[in-house]
Amino acid sequence: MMSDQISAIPPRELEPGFWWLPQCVPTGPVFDGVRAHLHASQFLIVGSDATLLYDVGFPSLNSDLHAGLDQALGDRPLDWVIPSHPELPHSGDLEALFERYPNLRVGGDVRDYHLYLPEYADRFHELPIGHVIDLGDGYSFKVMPAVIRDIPNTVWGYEARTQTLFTADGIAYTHHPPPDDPDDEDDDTFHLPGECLLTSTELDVEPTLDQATFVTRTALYWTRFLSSEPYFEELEQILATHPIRMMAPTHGNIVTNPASVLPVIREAHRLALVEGKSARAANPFAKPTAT
Amino acid sequence: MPREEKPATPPVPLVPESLYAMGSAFQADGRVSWLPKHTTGWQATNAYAIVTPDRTTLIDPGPRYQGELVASQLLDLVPSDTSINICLTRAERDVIGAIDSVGRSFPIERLVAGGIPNLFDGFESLASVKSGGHSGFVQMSRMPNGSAIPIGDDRELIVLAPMLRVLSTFWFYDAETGSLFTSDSFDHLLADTFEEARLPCSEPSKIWSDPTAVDDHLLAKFWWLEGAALAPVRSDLEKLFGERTVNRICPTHGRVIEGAEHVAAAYEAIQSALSRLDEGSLTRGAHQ
Repeated sequence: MMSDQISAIPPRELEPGFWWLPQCVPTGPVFDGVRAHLHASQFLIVGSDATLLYDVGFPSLNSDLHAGLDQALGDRPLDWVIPSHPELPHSGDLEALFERYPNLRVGGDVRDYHLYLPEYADRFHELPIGHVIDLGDGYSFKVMPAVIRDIPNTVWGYEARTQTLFTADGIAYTHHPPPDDPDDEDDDTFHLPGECLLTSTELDVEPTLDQATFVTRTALYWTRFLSSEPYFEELEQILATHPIRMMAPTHGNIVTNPASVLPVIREAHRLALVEGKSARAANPFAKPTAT
Repeated sequence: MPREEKPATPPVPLVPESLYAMGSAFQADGRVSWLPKHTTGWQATNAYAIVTPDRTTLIDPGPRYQGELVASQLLDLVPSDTSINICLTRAERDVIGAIDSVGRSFPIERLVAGGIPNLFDGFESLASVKSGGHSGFVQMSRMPNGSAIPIGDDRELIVLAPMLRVLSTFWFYDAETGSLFTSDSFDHLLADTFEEARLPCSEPSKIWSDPTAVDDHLLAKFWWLEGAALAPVRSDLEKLFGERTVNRICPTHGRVIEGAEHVAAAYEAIQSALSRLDEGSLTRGAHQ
């Protein structure tokens, strides 16, 4: 049986100085007979001039994040955090990080934080869309508009050297968990150990439509009422001037084949709307059951 | 102390000996995401206390900047050894940030939110709050839509799940006082001064007759409404208000809307806004 315990996963250095620090938790639904996992990922860039972390993940998992930071940073401090948005699973560990790194600055769309963490108000820096932080070694972080988002003060990011687009809650999907016991042939899981740390091209299968639709419908409530097509068109415009090799969602494996995965996510958004309308047609007073 | 916080102000009795508005207020200056950037004036950040002979219930302690203030206001109402039930409309920081401060001053009996345990909505991660000066887990209870939370003296808070929301959101209804706790909805009313912001509004507000202002305010948080299929949201709102007597609206931010007449004006204004913003009557981008 799958454990309900949260998995601890070591950080993975995708390219020299570019780290993926995934946290991973079992979700409620079962796909193909297997209870899926969902990432809460953070991404660390260690440049010669500065270090930057995009998102900070679940507060209950901060020991994993801190261990990962210690491993990836060595004796370097963490200079910048860009939380994708203030929702607790994405910003909950800020206070602990402020204490660990006395010179840490937090940037992006930092509205509201002066009311949320008033004792650290001078550490927050409003960075407009398009602002670029030069990290050294060719690394940089550009503050990008959150084309697909939930709460208003969400930001995406773009790293030019690795051509990575950081997409917060956008481009999200679940993945299958590793088996509890890789030697147990009767285990009801059938995917490789360590799947939580694999990129989309390293997985045996690409993100499935039902997994992407589940996360879309659950994490982005509005997709049941509003077409996402204009937002994907906006994303296409961004990609025309910001070439990507990777997309880095906070909920999903790193996407290393965006041309293949994006259409799946786009279809998931379309289905979320269709399913929302169908459900309402069947029962106009039915309440959406997920978040 | 952040400059937004004013010296302690006593709890405001909405229903004497029964329901109190607590909390602080901040001056709008473009740094808050749930208000249009051009907004001026003071907006209240509310925590509500329901006090009965049997039990004390705190609804939405509020953002952390007012934590010590809310704890001291609660001490004005009940002794420090009183067990507190905390009911939460959302798991966002503008609602939950002051829990720790309350927990340092009072024993927290349990945290209560609507819905069912859910990995995505963040409520379960709040259960590690410190209570009464002791470390330890406080029970987080999830209550399905429509269920009743006992608040003492045969009173109940009814859990409601509004369709007008962004993240996971629940409203509460107290039939005894006719109070509807609407979380981040109906938070339109600001004031010229801190002191006025803390008081319930029991007079006509001109904002309800200003469609642009109503829409801009609504869209600041509920940005997705523009061009969406809103008929079910409008029907849901109609049900939420039509099935119960609402004498006052108690939002998480903004002035309390006091009196059935003013509640009706606010309700009609929001319904009209939803009608204007619906996919059938709006060209996307009109408000962008």
